[in-house]
Amino acid sequence: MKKTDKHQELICIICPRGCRLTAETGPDGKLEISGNSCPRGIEYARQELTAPMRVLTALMRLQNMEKPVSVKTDRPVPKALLFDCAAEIYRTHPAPPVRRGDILIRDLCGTGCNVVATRDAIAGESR
Amino acid sequence: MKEVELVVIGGGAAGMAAAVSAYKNGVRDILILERNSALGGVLQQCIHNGFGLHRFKEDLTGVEFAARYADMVQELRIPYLLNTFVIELHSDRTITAVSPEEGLMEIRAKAVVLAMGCRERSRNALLIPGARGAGIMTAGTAQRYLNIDGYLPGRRIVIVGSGDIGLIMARQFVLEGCEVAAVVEIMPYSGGLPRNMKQCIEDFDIPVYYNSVISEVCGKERVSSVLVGKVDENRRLIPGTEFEISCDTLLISAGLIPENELTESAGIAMSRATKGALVTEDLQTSIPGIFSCGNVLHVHDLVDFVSEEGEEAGRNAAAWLLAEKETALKETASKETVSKEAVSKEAASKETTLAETASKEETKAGNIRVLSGDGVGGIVPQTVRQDTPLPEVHFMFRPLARYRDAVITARYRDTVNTSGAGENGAARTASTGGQTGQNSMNASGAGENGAARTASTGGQTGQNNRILIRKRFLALTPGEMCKITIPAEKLKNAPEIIFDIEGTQV
Repeated sequence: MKKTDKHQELICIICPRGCRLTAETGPDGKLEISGNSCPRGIEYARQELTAPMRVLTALMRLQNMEKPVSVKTDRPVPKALLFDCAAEIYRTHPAPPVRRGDILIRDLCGTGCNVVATRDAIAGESR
Repeated sequence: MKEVELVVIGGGAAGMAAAVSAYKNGVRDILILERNSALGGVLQQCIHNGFGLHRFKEDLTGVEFAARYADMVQELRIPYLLNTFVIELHSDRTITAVSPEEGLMEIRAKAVVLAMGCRERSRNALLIPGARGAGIMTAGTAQRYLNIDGYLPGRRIVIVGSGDIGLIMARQFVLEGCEVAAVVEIMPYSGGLPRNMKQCIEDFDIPVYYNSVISEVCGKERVSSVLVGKVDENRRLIPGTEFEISCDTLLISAGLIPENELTESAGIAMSRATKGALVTEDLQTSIPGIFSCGNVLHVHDLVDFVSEEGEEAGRNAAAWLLAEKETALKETASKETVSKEAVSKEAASKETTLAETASKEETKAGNIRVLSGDGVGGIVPQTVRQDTPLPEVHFMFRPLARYRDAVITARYRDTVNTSGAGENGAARTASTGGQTGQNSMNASGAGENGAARTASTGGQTGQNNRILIRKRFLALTPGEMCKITIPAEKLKNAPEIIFDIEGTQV
């Protein structure tokens, strides 16, 4: 997707409805967005066309534990940094126990986002 | 034999929601049977986000969504058995199950909620030819290996089918440092949600081959490559179009099939369209007191709707149990005026069975058939009871094609023709008791497969269409579940309900 295009088509990823959005740049440089079913679509399109963001979910390996713990970023991170952020998560090996909601990395790659555990991981407990 | 008021089979999103909602509606004697070692079902392995936007107005991961419900189950102290596999469900609502702790057990349930979910369509179901080396698995199996067990199943991956699980796994594999060489889809469009095509495939420039199939799997001990070829409009391989893609893993992501072996073993009438049980608007199956919800009833796209349906089933099961109790009390009170205390449990249960049969026969006559018209497939529920106690009825179905500027209508014909549709109706009304299963399966199967569709073309005379509801949609895709709610009041005088989709097919 080129940023210089006057007419751009996007798929909103905010909710499962997946609205097909159209963004038109007028001669005055103003962005007109249509096709959205709710105001979040407009917000998404503006963000997506300027600085796309994504929530990152991944697995984090723990010390002395075979099974990984699932984690997420507590807010969307810049799409361009997804691989850097994933690499940082893979490099980190906290010690169990980990509880759902625990912050495992603060300010991930300078994004200001935290990495949070999405499940409990307690040594010796099966799942 | 253990006696339980309400047994929920399956501790996933649907089952937990059903148990919680039954509890909140007054049922105290509940038991959830779960074959896995934890509650949550498939959500345990869904570490990605996008869950809960409807139900909790929050963007949760699947794991967190499951935890929300598991917490509710714990807080309400609803009993559940893990590692417990149900072997058989009988038509009298007794359940045979087995677990390492309890061994073989028999449970007699007053009511049952079926919430077994579904399983993935396998390689054999797709008839993919070629070698049978290691490295071929469903996308969900790979998801489990990686997210629960921590094993990476391969390094260079080809995915056949573009179902949502495959798309989600494609993204995760790329982020894990693997290469996803191709997604191969037989249809001209994706089988997954548009947002997953965007954020999992397009975001990472993964090549997608539409109108294509895997024509051969190569490799001895392990998959080494696949041949990909184009298909014609009849989905037949076009010779000479094949090319080779090297890979060490082939993931299959080609749809889900409701896991209804138990349902069928009980003799419950099934729908050919949904591959789930036939249900009335309260999600009750052809056996009174057995309810079905979630992916075992029909495959959903969103867990939010699965748990919503589970809550509905739990609420309806609670209402049914209460009504049964009241009927039994009334019957015993009128018959046994002298020695109330002497009424044995056996007698009470015999009365219940009689009352059941009677009430079932009554409602059979007042059933409104729900039919798929133009462009509509796999509608749930298949019948609405005219005397439904519910304030509104939710209908769910999938469009059969891709539409732009579409209108969904629900209508009924003023004069119902007496040919095909009438016969089906008669078969259904006539069928009672033990024979219900077979008869109504045939009747309703025929209805689903086009009794309404032929009628809707307007060949019959003297028919006026009465519109119950019209809803406009910007776009409809075949993968997308449509949900239409109609107040029960509006349905009271309808002899049938037909859903149609009109619009520009694209």
